[in-house]
Amino acid sequence: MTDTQDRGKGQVSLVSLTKRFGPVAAVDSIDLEIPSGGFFSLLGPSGCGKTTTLRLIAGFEQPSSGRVLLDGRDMAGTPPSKRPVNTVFQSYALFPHLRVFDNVAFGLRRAHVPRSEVQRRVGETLDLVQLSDLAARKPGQLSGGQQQRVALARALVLRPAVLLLDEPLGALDAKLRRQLQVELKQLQTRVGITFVYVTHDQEEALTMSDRIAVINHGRIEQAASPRDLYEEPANAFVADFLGVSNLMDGSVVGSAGDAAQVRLANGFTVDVGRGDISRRGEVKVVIRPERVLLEPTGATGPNRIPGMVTNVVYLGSGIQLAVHLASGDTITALVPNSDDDTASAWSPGVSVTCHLPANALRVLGDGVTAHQPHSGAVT
Amino acid sequence: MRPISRLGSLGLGIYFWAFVAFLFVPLVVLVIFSVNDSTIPTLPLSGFTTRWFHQAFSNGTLTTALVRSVVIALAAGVLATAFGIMASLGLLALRGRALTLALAVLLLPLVVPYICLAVGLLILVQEVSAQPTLVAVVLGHSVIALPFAILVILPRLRSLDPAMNEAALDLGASSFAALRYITLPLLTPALVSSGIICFVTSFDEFAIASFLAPSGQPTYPIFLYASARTPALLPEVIAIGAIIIAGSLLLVVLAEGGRRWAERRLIGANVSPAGALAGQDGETGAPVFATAEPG
Amino acid sequence: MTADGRAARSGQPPRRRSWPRPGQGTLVIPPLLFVVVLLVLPVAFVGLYSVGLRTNIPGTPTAFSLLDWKDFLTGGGSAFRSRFVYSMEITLFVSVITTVAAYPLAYYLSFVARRRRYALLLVLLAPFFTSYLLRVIAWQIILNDNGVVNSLLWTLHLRPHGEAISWLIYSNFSIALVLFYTWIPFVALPIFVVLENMDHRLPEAAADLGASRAATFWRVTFPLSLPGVIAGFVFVLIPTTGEFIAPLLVGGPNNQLFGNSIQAFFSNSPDWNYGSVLAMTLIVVVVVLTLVFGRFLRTDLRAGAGAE
Repeated sequence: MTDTQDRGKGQVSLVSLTKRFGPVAAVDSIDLEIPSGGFFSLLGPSGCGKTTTLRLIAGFEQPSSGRVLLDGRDMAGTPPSKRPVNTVFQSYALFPHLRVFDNVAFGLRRAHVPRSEVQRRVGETLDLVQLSDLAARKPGQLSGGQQQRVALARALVLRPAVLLLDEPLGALDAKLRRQLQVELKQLQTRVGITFVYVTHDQEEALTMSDRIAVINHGRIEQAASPRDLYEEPANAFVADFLGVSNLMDGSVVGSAGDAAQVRLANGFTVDVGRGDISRRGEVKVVIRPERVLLEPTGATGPNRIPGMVTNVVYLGSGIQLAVHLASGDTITALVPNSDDDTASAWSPGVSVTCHLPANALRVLGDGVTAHQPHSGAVT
Repeated sequence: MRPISRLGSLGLGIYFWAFVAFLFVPLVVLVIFSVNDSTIPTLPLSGFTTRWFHQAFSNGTLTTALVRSVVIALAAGVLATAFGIMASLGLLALRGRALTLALAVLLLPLVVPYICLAVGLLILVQEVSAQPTLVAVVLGHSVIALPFAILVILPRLRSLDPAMNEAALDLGASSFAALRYITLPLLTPALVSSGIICFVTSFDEFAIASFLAPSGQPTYPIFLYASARTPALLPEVIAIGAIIIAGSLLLVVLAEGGRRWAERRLIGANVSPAGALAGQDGETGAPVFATAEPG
Repeated sequence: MTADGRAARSGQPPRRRSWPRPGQGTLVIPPLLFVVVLLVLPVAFVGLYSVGLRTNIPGTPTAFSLLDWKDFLTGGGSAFRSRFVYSMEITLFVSVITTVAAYPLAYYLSFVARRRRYALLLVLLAPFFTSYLLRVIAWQIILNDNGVVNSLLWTLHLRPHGEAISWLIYSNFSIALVLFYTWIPFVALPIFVVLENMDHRLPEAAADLGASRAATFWRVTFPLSLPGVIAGFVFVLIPTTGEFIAPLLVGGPNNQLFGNSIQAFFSNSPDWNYGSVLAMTLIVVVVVLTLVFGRFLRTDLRAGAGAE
């Protein structure tokens, strides 16, 4: 699509979207609303179906059932070339025999845009991605980061309603990746169109996104803002996928006001104030490492479990401790490196009391989805 | 200890170069006798002359046959390459049984002996009550050249990133436009190679031509064969032969250089045509025809 | 393959999905039809002619008849049977010596001439790209009774003037030599390809572990290169069964091959039915050989042609 007038707002709706390859459902009845104008990520492990979902939006795959709607219009039967959507491919898929300028101009020329306008728009877009002085080069003469920008420019110049990005930073080294993450986010804010970004890197998703859908085995585990996903995960999978979760098994033995009383192994009981506190029976409990408070051994009070440090990792900005609790679980605690003594205070063998505050503990359901892992992994 | 001893390497080297010499001896012999001032190619040499070339080029039958062969070879080269592109694009989209079957049929001409195919085509021409024409020769040559076209084009096509075609579609191109602006330009080195190989295959082909060419319209190989049995014509034949040999070798060198230049212009890869023939992938340099891939 | 290779590098599983590759399966139909009409159909006709269902002589009744077949296989066609046997003997002999002689060439290219190997391969293949007829004619000039070899011997007084070595031309030697010469570069190619694909560190490792050079070659290198050797053998075997040009130029009356018989039946004394019997025999032989050896070739082609 090239005409800016009817590109639409860029709102994507997926309605009961399913894609099967043989008996395997790569995308399993997904319902998702992607609001217009934001940076939306599809996050999940390899083979979870996120790329297939992206390709369904782009039109490279046809749904087995369900619908893809762009700004309310059903895209069934519309080929990729006619959808107001453009893709940045994982391999960039630049045309090696064309100069950067011609790569970016390709879509405009296919739409028979007049020459002067092609010149203008390509120039603008190359400025946008800071590649103006490389316009005459061929892709083979560019670095990975530069190629990535050409792929971006090529898609953006057509002013799509939605830009789809399929793990575009996967092939780059860590430092370049972080730099481009910032640039991509800034670009999206500046251009204002909807970005749908596929990645398996939770850190990347958390950094860049306005909203994230966590996908596993073709189903959406949870779709929410980064903060909500991290602090209020819906189930064990989400909790564990984003950061360290310190999952503990327990059973609910009662309730106390706003909290559920959960008995962990070896008789230890804690008050859990967050999550599904009305749940009964076998549950999982999570707490983030940075919320674990470490007190001197022997300290008393509710939600305190004695433990022993088994491993110390010096992270620079903090100290990561593995603590084996008397309840049998081993949890990770994160202590900020806030003064000179912190680093030396901890070593394996040190006894400690772990205070797990009730408002930092969270009850989850079983969390494991009903689907069994499929043998044929599709992405 | 290295698997080959110094002596072994030296021995192999001598063997190789001796063989190369052996391979080039007949070619050198032709060149020498093309300028030998004698009607009989024998030793000792009789001095230098260029008269055989003059004689050859004023021999109308010879030059006509040459031109005829060139035209036929051009037509067959184009036709075989065109069908080769079509076949390769089609094969790319096939899998499993369909692929094996299609490939088997398309490569059949490699297996059928040319003499059998020649007589078969002769029968076919007779059966459809047609007269032997040069068109039949072109068609026959195209069929035998088609497998070569496929074997050159298909691996090259296979090595292109399929995402590029998707990208072209994504950017608004029709399937045809994607083919025209992206796939075909990237195939150009393979198309040129295919054209050359098919041309050479047709130009030199004797069996089919001898049965299908009308009697007054010999192709160059037919003329060559007839002349080889006529001692009087032999020096002219040798003279033209020398030119053709020199031309073929030049073509091989040019094809190599041209290919390298085209590859560099396109994506900076550096694969010699011998490498391409041996199945080197243009981008990675790794072999494309991998043997015994599991599955 | 490239796309999958990149995918694998970034930690993704190999993609099993329907790429909209540039091409439709249906595009394969016109070329297929082309081959069917111009190859399968003629061969079918040859078959029909061989059993008398069609004939080229107008007015002759046509009916299914195995008479010509019987004649060739068991009856009066003994001359053709013995020529068939002779052809197969020559073919087999030439295929063996060519493959054996080609192996060291391929080995040299792959193991010794590492840096220039593709350029040298081109040098080796270059004569193959020149006209076949011309090369056979050149050999005729070399081997002839007053050709290069003989006249050289005469000039050097190593042989009395005018006395030619009789077995040089129009003999088994000349046929075998010309065929050997023609095919050897082409046979070296698949051997080279396989040696290239082989991990060259394997023989080095064997040598490091103490194996002698001979053992390293015969127990490591050669067995791994066997598919290429067989491919090369087939590359010369199958086309040579139908060879008929070389005997015409450098073969004597006793050295004519089976292909010449076929040719004769369709030109000099046209008996297309009997000729078709001979042609059909050759086709059957070649098809059988292809099927038997086909397994080795097919894996290569399918891997290269993109079956996944």
